[in-house]
Amino acid sequence: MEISRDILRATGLVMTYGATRALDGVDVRIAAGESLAVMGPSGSGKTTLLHVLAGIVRPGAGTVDLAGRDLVAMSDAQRTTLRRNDFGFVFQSGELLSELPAQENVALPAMLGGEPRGAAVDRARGLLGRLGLGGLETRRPGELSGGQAQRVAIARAMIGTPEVVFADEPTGALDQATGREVMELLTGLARDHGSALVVVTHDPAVARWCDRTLAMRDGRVVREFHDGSRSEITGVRS
Amino acid sequence: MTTLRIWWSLARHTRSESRLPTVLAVVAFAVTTWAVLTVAGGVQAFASRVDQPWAGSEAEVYPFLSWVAVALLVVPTATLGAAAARLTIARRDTRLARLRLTGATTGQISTIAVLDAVSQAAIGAVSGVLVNAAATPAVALLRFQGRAFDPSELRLGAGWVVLAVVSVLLVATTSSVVSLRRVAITPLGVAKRLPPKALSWARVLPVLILGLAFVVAFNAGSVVFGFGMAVGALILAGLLAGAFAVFNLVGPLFVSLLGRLLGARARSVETLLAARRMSEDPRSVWRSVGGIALVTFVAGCLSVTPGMTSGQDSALGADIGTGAAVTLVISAVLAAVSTGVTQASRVLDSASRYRMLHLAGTDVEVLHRARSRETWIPLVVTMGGAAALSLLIISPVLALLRTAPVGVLWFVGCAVVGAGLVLLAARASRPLVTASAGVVQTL
Repeated sequence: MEISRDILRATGLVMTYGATRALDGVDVRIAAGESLAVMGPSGSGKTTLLHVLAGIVRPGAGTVDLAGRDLVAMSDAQRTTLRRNDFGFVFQSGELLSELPAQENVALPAMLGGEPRGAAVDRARGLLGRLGLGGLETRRPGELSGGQAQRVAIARAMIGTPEVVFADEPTGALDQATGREVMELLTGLARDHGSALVVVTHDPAVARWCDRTLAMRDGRVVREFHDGSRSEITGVRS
Repeated sequence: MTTLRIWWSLARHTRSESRLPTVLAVVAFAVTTWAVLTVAGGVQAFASRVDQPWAGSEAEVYPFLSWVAVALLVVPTATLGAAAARLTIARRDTRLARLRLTGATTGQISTIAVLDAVSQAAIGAVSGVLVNAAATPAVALLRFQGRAFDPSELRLGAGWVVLAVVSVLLVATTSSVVSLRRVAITPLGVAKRLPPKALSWARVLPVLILGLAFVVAFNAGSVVFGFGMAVGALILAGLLAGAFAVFNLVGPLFVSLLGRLLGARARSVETLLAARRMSEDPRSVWRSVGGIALVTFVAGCLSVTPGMTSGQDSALGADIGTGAAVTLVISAVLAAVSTGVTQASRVLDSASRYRMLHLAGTDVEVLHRARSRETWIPLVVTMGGAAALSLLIISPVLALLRTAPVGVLWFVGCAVVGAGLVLLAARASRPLVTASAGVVQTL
């Protein structure tokens, strides 16, 4: 019997918006601790794929399985709990709460999961220190640079030691040098925590940080690249 | 002309999901206008009764008391008008940013935003005039000086009505211009919400100045009323209005302090979010609760009135109670609508964050509870503080509450109804939060 190390497995995903087929029979497997980039031009279905894999939307057809749990069969409340406990999210512009200092932004998911505030904030401070933000823990998002804010967002995504981290254009609002730093931290921290990482991007430089890249077009996976296929990944963008 | 055309096109093509804030803004402007006209009608009626042959020696006191009511209602009325204008600006950020990106100048953007607010204010003001006209016969049923009003006593002349409408439009224009200063729309078409300015402790200074003014006025009471009842009444009404303006200045400082204290001790996410919001933007939180806190203070002070007037033949005591109740009802309605509008503005400002929080696994109920706490916690604390302050002021005659406990019942009843209205209004924006958080489910 074959033992699968897949943490997340989706088969036959179909998603339509009116006459548009955003996903057209997509199959994806992600191993525990693996990093996967999803690339493609605008409208190729990459963000829809992320939303389906993360249990944000239900596909029209197909299955999504997280370590034996069927996401498609879950209620909205169950999927919300799953997203809180098993997934982490990093968005393009951080989407931090402006009224909370960095350490409380990071501690928030842990507190939502029932962890006492003191313990959650202590862990948040530790994570921020690892991400080079020691001394900035009490600053509000408005007092941080774009790169610093994105590092806070990464810490927030990782505090629950999630099974999978989903990042939607995590460097989209950053300059190249800062984007590189952010990707290094994101992939490094995911590896250290044993979390799988799914990164949606249109930037080949970002995709190169991942173990594997799926290229999408018109709702389908058209190619798959493994670590080292740098020149081919660059070609996906065009 | 081009700017007008763009604004008209935007106004016509407002999508259906944006209609709730529009309706709220129009309702807020309508309520503001209705309150202004109703109170002004009352002032006019009491002034005209002074010269009536049946008017007793106390008739001159009534116009004075009506000015006190005006002083009480100025702040909550202006606050509501301003909140409505802010709501109009809040929901336009993204569209204005897109316009900026397509080449509109800062001047054009500002004009469009102000036109938006003023047009909604105009619709609201006209509605307010109509509501006032329809409600006047009901208001006329109120009995003062032993008789009900004739509706004609309460109806204002056309000039006064126009003045009231113009005042509401002015408040809308000023507030929308001020609100626009908080939204910096860059040439790249990004609407950036600037953090609220920190509060200065200098806000406490006017308290000292006003305290001094009160001491002078009361010590020179004979001098003040030496100018005649009308002038003396105006001076006192002015002092009272000043007191409320000062209360309004210090209130946000108090909310900010409360937020910090609560934030340091919060154990749950909901309380932490509420506390941080209170310390981040205390002005906005105060707008929701300040009106009711002011009214609680006044109702507390007036709770001894039944005790003071029991056993007297004069109708004045009972009339003060009725007048205070009417003022309280109007204030409660203004505060409740203000809360609804403020909450809606805040939800619209935070829509994308609500969406992302829910996407990352936050239950919508947690968002609802956080919003609820940022209203009821400061509401309860400020009302409690206002009640305690009023009891302190009436402490020399506190025994009167025992002789006429109806005053206590009236006070508690008013406070509970007022607070209930505010909390209900805060709940009104729940659908907006759910819609903001739930957008991801319908992608």
